[in-house]
Parts: sequence; structure tokens; C-alpha cells
Amino acid sequence: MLENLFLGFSVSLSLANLFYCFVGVAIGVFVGVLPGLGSAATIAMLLPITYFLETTPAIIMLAGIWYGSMFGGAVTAILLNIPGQSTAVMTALDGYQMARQGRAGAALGAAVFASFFGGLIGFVGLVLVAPPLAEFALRFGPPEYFALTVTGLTLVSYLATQSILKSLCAAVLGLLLGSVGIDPVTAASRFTYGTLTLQNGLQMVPVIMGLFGIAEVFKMMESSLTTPNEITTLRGRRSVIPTRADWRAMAKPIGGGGLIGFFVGLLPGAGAAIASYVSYVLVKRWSRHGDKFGTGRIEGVAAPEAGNNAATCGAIIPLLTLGLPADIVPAIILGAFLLHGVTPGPMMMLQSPDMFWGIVTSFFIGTVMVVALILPFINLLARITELPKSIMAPLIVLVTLAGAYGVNNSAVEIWIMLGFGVLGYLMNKFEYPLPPLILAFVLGPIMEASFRQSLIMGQGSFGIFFGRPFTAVILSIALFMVLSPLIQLLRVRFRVAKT
Amino acid sequence: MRQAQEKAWKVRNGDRLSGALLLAFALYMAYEALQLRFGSVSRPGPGFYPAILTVLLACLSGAVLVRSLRERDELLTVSFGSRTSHIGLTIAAVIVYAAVVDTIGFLVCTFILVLALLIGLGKVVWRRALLVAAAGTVVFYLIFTSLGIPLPKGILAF
Repeated sequence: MLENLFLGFSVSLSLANLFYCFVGVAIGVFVGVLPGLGSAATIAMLLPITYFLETTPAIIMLAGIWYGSMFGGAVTAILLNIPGQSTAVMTALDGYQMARQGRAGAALGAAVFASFFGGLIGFVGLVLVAPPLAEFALRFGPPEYFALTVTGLTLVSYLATQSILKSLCAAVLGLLLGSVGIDPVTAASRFTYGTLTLQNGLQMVPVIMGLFGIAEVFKMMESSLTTPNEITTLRGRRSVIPTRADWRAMAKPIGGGGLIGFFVGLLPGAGAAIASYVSYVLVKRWSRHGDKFGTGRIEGVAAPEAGNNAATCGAIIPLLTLGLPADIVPAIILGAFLLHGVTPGPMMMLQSPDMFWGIVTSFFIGTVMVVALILPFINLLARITELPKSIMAPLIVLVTLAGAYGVNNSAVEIWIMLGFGVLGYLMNKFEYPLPPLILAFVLGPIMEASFRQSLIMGQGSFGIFFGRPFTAVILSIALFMVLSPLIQLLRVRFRVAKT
Repeated sequence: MRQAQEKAWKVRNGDRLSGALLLAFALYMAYEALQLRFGSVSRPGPGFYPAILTVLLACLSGAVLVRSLRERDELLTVSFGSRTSHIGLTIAAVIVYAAVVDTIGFLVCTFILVLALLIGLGKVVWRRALLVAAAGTVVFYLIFTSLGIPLPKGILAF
């Protein structure tokens, strides 16, 4: 254990990796503060650029953007009541109230330290859980991967906060979109309409930038771009360090939020946003002052912030140990790995321990960087929130256009991105959740390939899925999830019929 | 503050529309998928997996549609505000942009597009708009090209 950590830190503390970690965290915080451009779109856009980096610094940087953006999102949530990221929605509830009461500084400080300690808890969890999980996964074959992807997608759909039926629609739609391109087994073209561009399938970068970048721009355009942002006056911005009373109040929410966040993050489809929500709700329920949450309690800021940072550590575990992304950003990071010719999974820990542990330890370093390097610049960051939408929206369009073109050196990708922008916008309006679509898009090809390989292994019979104990268990969980609403429905009907 | 009554196009039963659209899409994709060889369950062809997916999607979207038809009270109302025309214009502009950017070049096209968005939609003062559009275009062009991603030079190629 200790040698692994030693190895990891020797990698992540190298000058180059430290530099890229810092760049990532800085970009992340900046992007998190900007309402509109989220971490997903930014990471997707920087994917092609990382081509010129080595794998380890590339992943370290992208991960830095990810957890950096969670802190940035908290800044706008507290100051403007506009969460810059979905992970900051719960933070806005108490954070903005605190700001209105003149305690913006304390709220920001709470967010930073809660993020730090939450990230620390997550890091410990990561170090403890990842190696045994990877060892266990060494025995996995195609049937296990099929079971995991199916159950993962089912779980994603059931964890969605909106209608389950619509989540399943989104997931199946994502699966269909993922099947566009050349069928890997028979080399037949599927849904390509004869175009060369679609032969390689839909690329992740234009898809994600469309669904998150362009769709957000459209949402911004809905209300007039000329309305100014309402900013709370920032009295009390100076003292960002929480008082002793604040620490006492925050301690338990941070611990609880961190633990909850880590385990929620582990679940496929439950990303940092859901983790922050669950952390907030549970800490509120257990707190003595629970009913005062939402009026400006510092615990209401600490719990979700600890939760979302811990969740990043949890959410990266399935990617690093199994090669299966459990959330949107890990799915994009998977794309980065593949771009560098690296397939994450249980073998990675064995064959490239320096990369594995370097990335793991970088989570700790990046979290430290957020506190050490970003805290002094909070005032500057708060200024960024004053950037008007009228300037931001066109600039976001500019950045996404360049990014989309750059993927394949082709303007066709711009049209694809635009199409997904429209799709993302409509999905938001008609209340279809995005995470099932994206995860299905990424996991679909893995799922299909495992399915077909399993059939080959089992020589055409489905028995192979039920013969192997792990697979059977996982698949029955999925089956149970699918059937349980039906059972509930029948129960209700039965009861109504009796009366 | 002006309390202008904004004209909006309201869709009264959002699920009905989305369910119907998805169902139509699923049926169309089913047709496309069946053009490919289906194969058998133990020896799936390229059309096997997509075809099953389209059937699934048809069932799910059909369920959304059916449920929306039976729902009385909690209908999802989707409203498209008066600013939807801005979105439409932006879409049209980007379509044209993608068509010409290879020939005319990134710097010129992007500058024009961003300028148009700033002035037209953002109502930014023209001096500031020119500055932001020019600075933004040049900065990002330099960033992307220095990171190794070529952007089309178009008419400025020399």
C-alpha cells in the first residue's frame, strides 16, 4: 500500500505533472464559475489537445478540470444564486442566503474547506477501494462486462430524478446513437447514409459539446441576453476563513457529506451532482438544525460541497479499475485514454502502476491546489461572475465551433454538434435527462461487443450469462429494477380493485 | 422594469409531442435497421442489435405517449418564448458558417459570426463588440493552432 502511494506521488509530484494539474484545476475553477460552459463541454473540447501530451499528464489535467469546476460552480451559486455547475445546486440554497446576510466570505470559505476535506475523504476511499476492486475484476470476462454495462445503464435510468420511462427512452436513444458507424464484427455500415464522416461513428467531442455547450447557449438565449446578472453586494468577502464556531458546525456535515458522496459517486450514473443532493438531504435529516437548512446555515454549504468532491474520487474508480465509466466526465476521460491508446481496466494497475497511482495521487494534489492556489484569488473569481451573458454566449459559441472543427479537421462535425445542441435543448425542455443518453452512448459499444463475444464463448446459448455466478447476480439486480415498478403498479391496482 | 407580455408558443401536453416524435423516430430507425442483415439470436448480424433497440424505443416512447394521453391534471407544459427566433437565427447562422468556413477561413468567418451574435442578440455596443469579436477570434485561433489543431485559413492563406 505505502509503496504504491510512494510511487504515485513520485509521479504526480513531477514538475510536468504538477504543472498540468495546476493548469487543469485553474481552468476548472474558471469554467465552473462561468455559468453556461460546464466541465463536461470543456473537457470534451480539450480532448484533442491532450493528444500532444503524454497520457498521465493529460488525464491529470482533465481530472483537475473536473474537481476544480466543482469549486468554481460553488462560487456563482453562493454569489449569484446561479449554480455554475449542476453540482452546486444544493450549495446555492444556503450559500446564497448566507451571502445576502453579508456572510458571503464565510460561505465561500466553507465551500473551499468542505471541498478540500470531502476530497480528502474521497481520496482515502479511492486508495482503499480501488486495488481490491481491480484485483477482483481481473477475473472478468465478456459476460461480466455485459452484465455490468446493462445493470449500470438500468441503474442510471432509475436514479434519474425525472420520469424513469423518459430516462429509459434517453438511454435507448443513446444506445442507438452509439451504434452509428461500422459494425465491429461484420464491418457492415450502420446508419451512415453513405457519408464518410459517419463511418467512424459519432465522435464524442461534438456530441458532448453540442449537448452541454450549445444547448446551454440556447438556454441562455431564452431570456434576453441583455438582462444584467443580479449580484449580491459582497460585504464580508474579506474574511474567507471560517470562525471556530463555523468549524464546529461544519465538522459533522463534512464528514457525513464526504462519506455519502464517495459511495454515491461509486454508483454508475450517480455522479457528483446526485451525490451533492443526497449529501445535503441526508445531513439535513440528521442535523439538529435541519429545519433551518435553506435559510443560510453553513452546514447546508459544507455538506453538498464535501459530497461532490468526494464523489469525484468515487466516480473515477469504476473507470480506473473496470474500464467502465460511471458518470459523464469519466466517460469523456475514457475517450482521452482511448485517444492515447490506453485501455483502462484491471490490467492497468498491474501493467502501468505508475500511471494508475500517479493519477490516483493527483486527485489529492489537485484538491490541495484548489485550496492553496485558488483561495487567494477568490475576489478575482467573484469578478468573473459579473461577465454579462451577452458577451459570454457568443464567446462560448466561438470556442465550441473551434473545438468541433478541430476534432476531425472537418466542418461536418460542426453540423453534428449543432444537431446535438438542438437535441440537448429539446431534451431539457421536454424533461428528458441527459446522463442516461450519454452513458448509453459511451457504454453501448462496449455492451454490444461483450454481448456478442459472450455468445461466441457460450457457443450461441444464453446459458453463459446464468452459468457464471457474478454475472447472474448482477443481471438479476437489473431485472429486479426493471420489474419492481411493474410489481408496484400491480400491487396498487390490486388494492384498488379490492376496495 | 417593463412588464411586456411575451408572446410564447406553448405546447400544452409536452409528453404527448415528445412521445409521438420519439415513436416516429423509432419506427423510422426500425425501417433502416431492417435493411441490415438481422441474423439469428445465436449468430447476430449487424442489424440485430439496432433492430432490438428500435423496438425497445418504440415501446418506451409509445408508453410515454399513451401515458400522456390518459393524464388529466399534471400535464407538462413546454413554452417556447419569443426569443426562440434568436435561437433559430443562430442555428441558421451556424449552418451557413460550417458550409463556408473551409473556403473563407476561420478568422474571417468566426469574426463575422461572433460580431453578429454580439450586436444582434447581445445588443452590445459596436465598439465593444468589435473588440471582443476580434480579440476572441484571434486569441482562440492562436491557442488552438499553437496546440497543434489546424484551423482553416481560407482566403487568408498565404
